[in-house]
Amino acid sequence: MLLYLTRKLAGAFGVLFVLSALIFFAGRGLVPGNLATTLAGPKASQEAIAAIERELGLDLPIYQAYLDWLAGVLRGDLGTSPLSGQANLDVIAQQVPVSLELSLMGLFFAVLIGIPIGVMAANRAGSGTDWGIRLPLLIVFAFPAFVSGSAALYLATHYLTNLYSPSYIPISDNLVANLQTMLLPALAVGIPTAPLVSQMTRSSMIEVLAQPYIATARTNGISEWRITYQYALRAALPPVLTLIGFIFGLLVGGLFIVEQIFSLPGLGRGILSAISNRDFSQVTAQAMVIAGVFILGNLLVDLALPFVDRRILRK
Amino acid sequence: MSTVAHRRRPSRSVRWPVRGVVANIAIFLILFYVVLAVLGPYLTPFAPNQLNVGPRLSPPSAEHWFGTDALGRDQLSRVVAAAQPALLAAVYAVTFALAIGTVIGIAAGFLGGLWDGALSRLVDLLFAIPEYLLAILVLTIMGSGLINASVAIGIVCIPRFARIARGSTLEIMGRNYIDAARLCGRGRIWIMRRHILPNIASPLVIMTAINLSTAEGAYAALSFLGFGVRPPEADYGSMISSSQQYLLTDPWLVVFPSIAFVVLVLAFNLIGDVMRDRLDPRSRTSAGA
Repeated sequence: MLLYLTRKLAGAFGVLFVLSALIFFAGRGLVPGNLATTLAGPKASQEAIAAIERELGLDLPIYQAYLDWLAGVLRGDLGTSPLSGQANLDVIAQQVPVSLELSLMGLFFAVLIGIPIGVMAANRAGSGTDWGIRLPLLIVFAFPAFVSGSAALYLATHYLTNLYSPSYIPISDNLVANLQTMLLPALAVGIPTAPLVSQMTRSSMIEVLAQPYIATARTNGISEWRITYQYALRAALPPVLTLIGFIFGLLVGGLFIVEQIFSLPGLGRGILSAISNRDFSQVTAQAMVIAGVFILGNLLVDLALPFVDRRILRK
Repeated sequence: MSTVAHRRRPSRSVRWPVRGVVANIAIFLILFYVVLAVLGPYLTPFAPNQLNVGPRLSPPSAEHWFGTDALGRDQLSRVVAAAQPALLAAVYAVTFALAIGTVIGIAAGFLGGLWDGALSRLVDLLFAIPEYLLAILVLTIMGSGLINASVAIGIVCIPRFARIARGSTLEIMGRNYIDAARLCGRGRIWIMRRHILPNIASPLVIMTAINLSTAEGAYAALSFLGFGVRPPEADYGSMISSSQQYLLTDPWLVVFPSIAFVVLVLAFNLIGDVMRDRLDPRSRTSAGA
């Protein structure tokens, strides 16, 4: 168990480290030409430009600048945006709850819809019902977040006006009002993701149902319902759990788009506006947070796996 | 051996009539889009980028079947014109990922040892980055555009090809003909090209089919976010995003490009799904993961 844990933790930190370099250089690449000249304005003197360069650490060689920035990140200091003057951490602290709530609710809907459908399809694998279940799912899966999001917004504003309120209210202010803004966006993220979950559940269940111990359970007269949900589903769960970690990454993509459509003040929309403002400091901070949360999510899945399937530790 | 395979095939297609039909429909749909992409400029009633060919924001009519957009451009012509960048992006991205992923995978599987360790770590690393974040970071470094967006998507897809190429290579490494070639004094590059590549081609082809739909969806999403072809050119993602503000008053501006795009992705998904069953019924999803 300890070895497994250390390996997974080391892997997560390694990924985060390499990502930090990529993010830092992407941030620097965001600003064409010399940032200091841009900031100082067209008529600034040489001294003013040099002063800004020194202040932002732009006169340092790039590896030095990266190491300084990384040291700051490790201390929990994500920097201050030279464009807006706001501390990046403050900006992000307001955006994270929105995105986190949206992705967790989206994931919840994806699992709630996906797993039962996958189990049903697996029980009837190969029959007409199987395709009858899979084909609509494939159609739903072809709907990208920006189409399902647009459709949800249209429904929300035309027919479900009671269910949807357009202005975002933090969850701490009013739970019901918060859910009113989040429910439809979460469905727009969750429903197109559900087919992935159900496909994985289906194929994993098919394999488990073919195992000899399922046949043994049948000959022992255990009810079909118990075999499906208590024996087979539990054994079929590990690949589905791994997929859920992977889906977390897909949801990040959904966030970028759905937050844009519903004008939610989350991380996805924030990073896009930071990119269009060429605010490199904020982009790097936001990208680090997204990457960190994603890696943390996958790590949690990895740590949960041994509890579902003890065999994983033996590998 | 081959006679057995021949005898089995007809009975299989009788048992699975749906599978053949589904695949045929998907292939027909994709060919339809290919025709649109190639002949689009000659088929459209108006030039897709020409302004004010009709009244602005007019609903679908006999003259403008899909209506016109806020700049008075003919929506039907633009939907047809958008087929080209959509298909090109998917093909570029998957070709890029296939080429690089296959080389990485074969090298890792065939050379083994330290090479395998280093290349596999690299692939795991790429796999561990959220896809859209990676694509958007790459695009902020390189700038937007059709080619750059395709490369960004290609980078995201590399690990999938590398993994399957490595796995398949390891599977055939123990075969006698590899040892025979070695004993004959063939070089490593020769063996990889002449023996390994042809023998792992079929899973790679299937992986390509699966990834086309992912790449298609990813490109449209990036284009929706403004990283695709530059504005005047028609593109499903950017058409839908620029029509967002008219969604409530003139929904057809969103509806037609959405339908065109969803049908295209669905066709790719169907092909991918049929192919996936052949590759391995287990642990494959529409994301190709």
